[in-house]
Amino acid sequence: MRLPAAVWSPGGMTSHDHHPSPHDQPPPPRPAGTGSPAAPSGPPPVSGEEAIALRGLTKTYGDKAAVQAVDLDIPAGSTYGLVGRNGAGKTTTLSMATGLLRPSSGAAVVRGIDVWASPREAKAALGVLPDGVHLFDRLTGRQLIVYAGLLHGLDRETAGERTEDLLGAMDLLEAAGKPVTDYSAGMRKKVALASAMVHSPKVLVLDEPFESVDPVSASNIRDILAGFVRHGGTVVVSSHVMDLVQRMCDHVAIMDAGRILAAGTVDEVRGEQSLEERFVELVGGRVESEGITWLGTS
Amino acid sequence: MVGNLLRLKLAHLGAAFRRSAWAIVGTVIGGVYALGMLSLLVLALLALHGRTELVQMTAVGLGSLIALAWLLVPLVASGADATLDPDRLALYPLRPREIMGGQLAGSLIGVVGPLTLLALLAPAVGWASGAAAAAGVVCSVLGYALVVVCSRLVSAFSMALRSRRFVTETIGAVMFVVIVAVGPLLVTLGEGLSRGGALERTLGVLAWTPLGVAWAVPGDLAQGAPGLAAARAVLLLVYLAAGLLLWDRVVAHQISHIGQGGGSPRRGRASGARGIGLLGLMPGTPAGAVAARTVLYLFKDPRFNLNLIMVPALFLVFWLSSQLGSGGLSVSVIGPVAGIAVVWVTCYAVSYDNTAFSLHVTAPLRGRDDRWGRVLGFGIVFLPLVAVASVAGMVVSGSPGGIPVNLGLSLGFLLTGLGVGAVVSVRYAYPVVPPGGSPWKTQRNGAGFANMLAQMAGLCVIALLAFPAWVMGLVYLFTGAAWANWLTLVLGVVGGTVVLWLGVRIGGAWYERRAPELYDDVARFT
Repeated sequence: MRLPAAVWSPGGMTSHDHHPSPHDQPPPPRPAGTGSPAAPSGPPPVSGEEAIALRGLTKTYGDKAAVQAVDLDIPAGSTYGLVGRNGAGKTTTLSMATGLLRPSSGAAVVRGIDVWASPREAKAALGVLPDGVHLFDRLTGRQLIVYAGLLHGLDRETAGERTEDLLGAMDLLEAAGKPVTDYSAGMRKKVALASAMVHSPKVLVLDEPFESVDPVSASNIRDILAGFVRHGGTVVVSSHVMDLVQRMCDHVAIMDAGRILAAGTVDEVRGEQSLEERFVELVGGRVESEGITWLGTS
Repeated sequence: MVGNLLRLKLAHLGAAFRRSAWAIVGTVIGGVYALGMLSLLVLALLALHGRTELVQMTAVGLGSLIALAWLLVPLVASGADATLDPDRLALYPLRPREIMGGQLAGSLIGVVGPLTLLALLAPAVGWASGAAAAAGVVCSVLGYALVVVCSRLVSAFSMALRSRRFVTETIGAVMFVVIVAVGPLLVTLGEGLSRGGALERTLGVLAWTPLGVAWAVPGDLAQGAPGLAAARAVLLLVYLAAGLLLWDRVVAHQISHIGQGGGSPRRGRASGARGIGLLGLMPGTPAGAVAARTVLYLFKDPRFNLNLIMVPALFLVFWLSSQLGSGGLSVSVIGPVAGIAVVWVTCYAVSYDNTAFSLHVTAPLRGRDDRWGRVLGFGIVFLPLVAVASVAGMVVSGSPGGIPVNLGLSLGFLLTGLGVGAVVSVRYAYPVVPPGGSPWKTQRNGAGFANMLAQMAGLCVIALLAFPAWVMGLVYLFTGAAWANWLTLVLGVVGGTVVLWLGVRIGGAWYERRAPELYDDVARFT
């Protein structure tokens, strides 16, 4: 069941009235949930103002649907969290939204540009961090970021300058001359993130950006992302760490079994509960048990 | 506990067979082949029955070769059979002895172990006396144990070495050259040994080393030298005891030092404070960047640079075999052969990128930039390499007059191959070794046969499309006319360039149309 109730209000469009810490706002009166009033008959047309708009996005493998008719509007200037269990379809959705995976049907629109009709224009506006992919790891960290910049059509000077800035911000300067093969998992994440940002995209789509990143680096990255949003950028993160999403995102969509269960501002979606409680309530799957009796008794 | 480990290994073997019918087919074919060889060996030994000296030499020679193989394999293929490796079992409360027992007995579960033992037992049929045969059986079993122990020790040490990437890659490269050159080397070695009793002397020495001592004992008995036999038997036991003791230590160390050998990064080799190497030298465009990355990968990725080493290795092979006289291959073919052999890798370009290719797909990269970049990168390295090989081959073989025709053929094949590669690497994803994997690891062989067919087809296409060069080459061969000599060079280069240009156009258009599908295909082989 689709619940687009609160999604379509294009609130927080401009960059400055929006702060990426939504906690100090009181919860809105109407929580989005299974009991909310009848949804409008369909999603509104794409205005072109959304950072990313998905319409009926579907991916089927054989007769099994990995993602089913997903409608989602990600407002420009937001920090948008996409949460779900493993296998919920987050990565498939984000891949289709960024031109990595052709949808079976439906459309993905980035800043008014149809990703699958004019992929090159859309990709110029996107910065993508796919999860669990190899990097060109025989390059040094510095080379990798410059390479990404050049692929995006930056000239070498610009690519070089931005690379140094990014290396500094990611605390990678010391390792910048070493091949990426020798990096730890967290360092790889950071260098991949830097490669996704070097061309100064309008929308950053990050699949599990904080996995295996140490807490200090994670804080630094969150600061960088917050700054990016303050200057008009949009960040989309997928994660299954609810606390993180609740802390850094102003919008969230909960996904399960290829469908969006709820979407809107974090406060709308979670209501009185914590995001995690709300998530478990929506997705289900908690095992009721007394615990395993023999564990810890011998 | 050893029983448990054996069941684990058996279950593992069963699972491998259940997963793929090809694994069964391969094993059956390999097994039948090996059994055939084994029966030939037994027949030969039966023919030698009673000629004790010859049987002993055969036993020592054969046993030593098998032992050597067991020692060398872990150097090349690390973790070829890692089911019962100590570092995998370290989490469980096992004593080193139990692991050792499991590995020793477990080596007999599978195909190679039993076959080895059978081959080592085979000489027993050659002994005339029952005592010698009985001693042969006992010593073969003990000798087999010694071989397994030594093999495990080599494996442990090579794993310790392998934690340094550079060492691994160097060992890999050296072994590659050795394997490519193994035929001529063996022939040369054989010729050397067959002269003036060198073989007897070598075997005489081997019969005292851990490689050969076990197989020599029954021969001593049969030749009526019980003292010598006793001395060798004692030595065998000493080797075995020392090996077991050392192995015990090594296993104890392995299970208490998990992960400490792994990935020791080299420190402080920051190559120039702000250096971006080749990326700074090539044109600062998307195509230039792809070209620079391609060149870097050719030198820095072992999956690619084995390919570069192949040219000097082939040169060595051809030169050695031409030195042997008996109408072997001439060095003059090195150019065209190297041209085709080297260029084949360009068909794998995207498959080798694996999911790192996502960086290209998520960038607004034009198909023709991707294609030109790769072709340029490969060309920058391959063109001079093949040209030098061609010219050097002609000079060494003493026919510098044929340089133009040879160069024409070599470059014709190379340029045509680059064009074919530019199309094929967009169209097909191959199950190649993923980044960081050992270039030695064989891939899941589910697609093995189809893969081979695709390769054969690709080679045929390259050979066909390079027709201007070889047609004119044939004309030169029959007429010997100077104009045909030079025209082959011209046709090779021009024809190859035309195919190259077409390949980049077609490949580029295909990239535009199906880059996401290609990404999906290569991502399957992670």
